[in-house]
Amino acid sequence: MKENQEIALAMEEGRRAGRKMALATVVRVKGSAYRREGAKMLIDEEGKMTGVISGGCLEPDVAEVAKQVMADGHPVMKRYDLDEDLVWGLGLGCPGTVDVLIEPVSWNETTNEADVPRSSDGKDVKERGFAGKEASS
Amino acid sequence: MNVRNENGRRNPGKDPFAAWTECLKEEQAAVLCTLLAFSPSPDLPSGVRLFIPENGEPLGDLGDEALNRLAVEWARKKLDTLHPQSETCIFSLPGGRQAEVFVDVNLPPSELMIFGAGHDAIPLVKLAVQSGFKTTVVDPRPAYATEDRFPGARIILADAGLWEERVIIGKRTYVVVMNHHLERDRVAIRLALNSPAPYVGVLGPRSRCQRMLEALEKEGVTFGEEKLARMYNPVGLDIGAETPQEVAISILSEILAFRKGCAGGFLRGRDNIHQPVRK
Repeated sequence: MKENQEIALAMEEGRRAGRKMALATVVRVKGSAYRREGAKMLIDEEGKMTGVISGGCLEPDVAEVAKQVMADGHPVMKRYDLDEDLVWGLGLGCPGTVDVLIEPVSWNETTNEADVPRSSDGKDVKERGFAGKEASS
Repeated sequence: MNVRNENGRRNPGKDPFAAWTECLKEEQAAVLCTLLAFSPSPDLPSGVRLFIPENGEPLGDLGDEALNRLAVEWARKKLDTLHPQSETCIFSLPGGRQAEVFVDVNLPPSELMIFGAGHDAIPLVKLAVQSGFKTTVVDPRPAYATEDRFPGARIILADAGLWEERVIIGKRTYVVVMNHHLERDRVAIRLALNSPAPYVGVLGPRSRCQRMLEALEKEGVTFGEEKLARMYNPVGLDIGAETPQEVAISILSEILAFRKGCAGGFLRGRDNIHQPVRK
């Protein structure tokens, strides 16, 4: 889990420097995708990225969403359909769906309390339902 | 994060995310649960967290006691498995409620303990180090067990009689016995099978391994079924390996497949790639 350590060290460095940051985490994968659940990427306000969450096709868009997350402090859940043109256009098409949670990084106890992850395009979260693995009953 | 003050048990005032980050930095085993959604009604603030370290008490709050309990139980179960994966889970709660929780797992690096510093250990150490294993070579011969021969690995230069006290084998330590020396192999097998090591690969043909087990039996050392089930001999995947480099690939591939619970065959024609056989 060297990658997790790299993310933690980058977060620490960013915090020390007083930079705003957002953390993107792959939380659900359906079908084929390059990275699995738990893959992370840290984006800071200067656009510096640490870690990878895909084979390179999602990073630019996630970084774009991260800007908004850092600006307004609200987490975003974004679903990527890897079949879509965005990906095919790059010649990378994997037949899968990837949900990425993009959150502001904060150590303040009170800031996130009322935050509800919402979709960046307004449809994903509401229609997503419970599609994860059944863990317990 | 939403830490309820009346809930003293869960250490209000400390941030589960900060504790998690500390674990990532220190390469310690832990689980971070993040609430993504709740149904039927979104009556809980999403994004709240619960942190469960392998050694220590949970910290944080998912906003519902029953959910906290289920999440902790699930996290502990994951930390008890060999190579647990992060995943989004649905927890069913009393009253037909459901919570969707992202369960993120952090693990310390896997360790590889190699007994024997011969020429065939060199490519295995190289591959293991590249693959992120904390790798150690154990051998009593100062001419062989050197940092020059094994860059990136830790060296334990010690006679077999000292291994018991010098070599620490944990539950995430994979062992390969390749001394090319019957007596040292015997000591290594005894030490490894009596340790929590989940995998003990033994180089050499089955007949040789059998002879060593019989010799140990004569010394009064026997192993139950559970311990013998952790022994892999002949070691490696069946890829027709011949050179030391090829054998190293075969051994490390077996360890990777074993760690993830995969069968180790051809992927050709499979609908899904990430499908372990052992759950």
